[in-house]
Amino acid sequence: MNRRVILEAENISKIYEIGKYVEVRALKNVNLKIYEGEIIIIMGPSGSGKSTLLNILGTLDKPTNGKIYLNNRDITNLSERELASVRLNEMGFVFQAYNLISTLTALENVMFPMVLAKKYTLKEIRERAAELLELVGLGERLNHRPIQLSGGQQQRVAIARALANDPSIILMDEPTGNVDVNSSAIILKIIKMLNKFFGTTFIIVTHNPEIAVISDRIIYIRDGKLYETKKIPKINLNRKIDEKKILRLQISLLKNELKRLKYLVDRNEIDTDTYLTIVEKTRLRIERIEKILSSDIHEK
Amino acid sequence: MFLYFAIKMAFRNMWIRKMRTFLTILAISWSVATLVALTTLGVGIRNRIADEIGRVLRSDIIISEESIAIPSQVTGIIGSIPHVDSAVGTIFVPAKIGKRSINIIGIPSSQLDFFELKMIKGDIFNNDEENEILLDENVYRSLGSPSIGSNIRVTISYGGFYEEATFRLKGVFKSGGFFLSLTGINFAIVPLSRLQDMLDRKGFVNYIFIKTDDKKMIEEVSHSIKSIFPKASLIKETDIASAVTRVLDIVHGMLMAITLIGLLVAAMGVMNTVMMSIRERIREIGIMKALGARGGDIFMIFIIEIVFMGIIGGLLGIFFGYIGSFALKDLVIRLGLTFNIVIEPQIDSFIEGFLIAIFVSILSASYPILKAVRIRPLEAIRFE
Repeated sequence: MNRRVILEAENISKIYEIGKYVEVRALKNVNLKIYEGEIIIIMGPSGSGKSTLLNILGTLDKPTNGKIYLNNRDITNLSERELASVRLNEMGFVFQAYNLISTLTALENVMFPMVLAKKYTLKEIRERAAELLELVGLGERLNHRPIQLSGGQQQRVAIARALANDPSIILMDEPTGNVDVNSSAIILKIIKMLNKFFGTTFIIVTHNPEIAVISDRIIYIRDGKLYETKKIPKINLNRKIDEKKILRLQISLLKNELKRLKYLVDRNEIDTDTYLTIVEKTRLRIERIEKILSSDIHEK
Repeated sequence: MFLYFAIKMAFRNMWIRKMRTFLTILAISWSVATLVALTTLGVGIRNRIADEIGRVLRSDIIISEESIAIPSQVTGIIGSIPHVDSAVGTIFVPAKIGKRSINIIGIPSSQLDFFELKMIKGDIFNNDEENEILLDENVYRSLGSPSIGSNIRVTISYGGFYEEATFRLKGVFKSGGFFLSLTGINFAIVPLSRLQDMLDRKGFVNYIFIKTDDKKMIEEVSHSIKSIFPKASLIKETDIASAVTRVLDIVHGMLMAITLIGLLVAAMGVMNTVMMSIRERIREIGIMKALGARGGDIFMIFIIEIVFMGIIGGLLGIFFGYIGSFALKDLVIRLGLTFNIVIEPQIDSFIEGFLIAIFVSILSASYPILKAVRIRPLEAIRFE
């Protein structure tokens, strides 16, 4: 297979020092390649080092030894400021629970990363955030504060927020951990569709065997070492969300993106080369989605 | 744009934690209010006292001698020195009326107008040979407000003298202003020659009160007096004023110490608020960092809250401080200092108070915020 490696862990070790003389080796010489557009699941018992691995992959933690490459660029020893920028533009995070900023509404939570990125005007940000919330099925709950939402709804807001700056990788730590069965199914559906239509790469740490169903690859981690398993055969999920509606929304979102890019290049805020690559990428995406729309996706 | 968002977050947070916000603003405004009130009142009192001193003494230079040994002619010589408007030779000795200590002053009837007495009852005396006496209203009241013409028994015990004499009450004059009420000194006035007779010091005085025709000439005149009478001990009005100012400076210093404690309380209040606020939201700080917020962004969100509280606290403090200075004035009057302090808005102290409120808020908030901002995102997310 000729797939592009998006994120690579090379010989990663992580040693926690507890007190002066006790050491815990959470990860032992781990090597892992993550390819563009795959859903990779990391499973393992508590304390096996799976969260540590996720945090290191997500630049939230630094490895004791080894290197992390993002798009073949060594990001292991970047400054905190540079890492913030990497996380802002390349990565999305969904944590187990209590993931949202409590003082902000659902809409504002989704707006937050875009406001930090300063790429759009406030009006554009608001529109895009509303569209993203629509995408995760929360179009009517834009102005609710996190405490007014159920655990599952909060997680979906968090997913919409992770998508805000159009990251290439989304990292999730137990996304269905504190969520009811119904929301859990919806979250799985969303992950699957985002992966299918956006080509977003997912790295998910979980105990939930249902998530394993949608994955391309499962990594078992035990005592700080990785064991890769074969792909699990897929079973049908009950369909909670109208896919066509989401696809149409997706197309309008991408078309807006094209308009915005045109506007930016007219104002010389991005250079023409970048413009052309992004336009090409976006055009391909639209094409792909339109193809799926024209065939009946509910059939098979 | 981020600023707009940060402001929104700050306000939302203050609204959610209404009570805490209120108490913090209260702490800030209290310290500003004390500063403003004490300064405003302080300036009012200072101006007033400077006024009083001039009015009460009614003389620019006083020559004083322990014993009654200045020949009366000296008064005449001094009266002829250039720039001397008038000079009055008097005897100024402690005495008793009943059990009450007073100061008795012998003044020639012809020169009573030098002291600009405001008569409340009766009249001033105009015959130097009569045993007549004028009392100030405090002494008069303490004697049970006797009617005009009644006999007043005065005892003078001064140096080697011990004399008793009976005077007839001729009039009552208004007590001196603040300065005299403060020191609790009371006066009785009798004709100079009667006092000289009583003390057997005919032709001698111990106090000479001098007025100049121009306040700027006080130094020059006292110089001239010194050159004629090298041994004379002089008290200048400016000496007294500066002595009083020194006392006021000490009082002001103590008041400022109180204000400083207030500021310290406010600073600790702010620090506590920020620490609580951060402790509660440490997980959120971690999430924001994971989302790609930089330290500066997070600092902004928290500091805006504090700056806003500082501004509101500062403005409220100025308002309450100004109102409070009127209340303080009432208190001072109720404590028995019956003089009229003029309260005027002290713009300097307003600006000072406002800037201090904001400065103290930012300063005391910065440490906990900076500490929180430096936490690694992972530690913050794990924080429970």
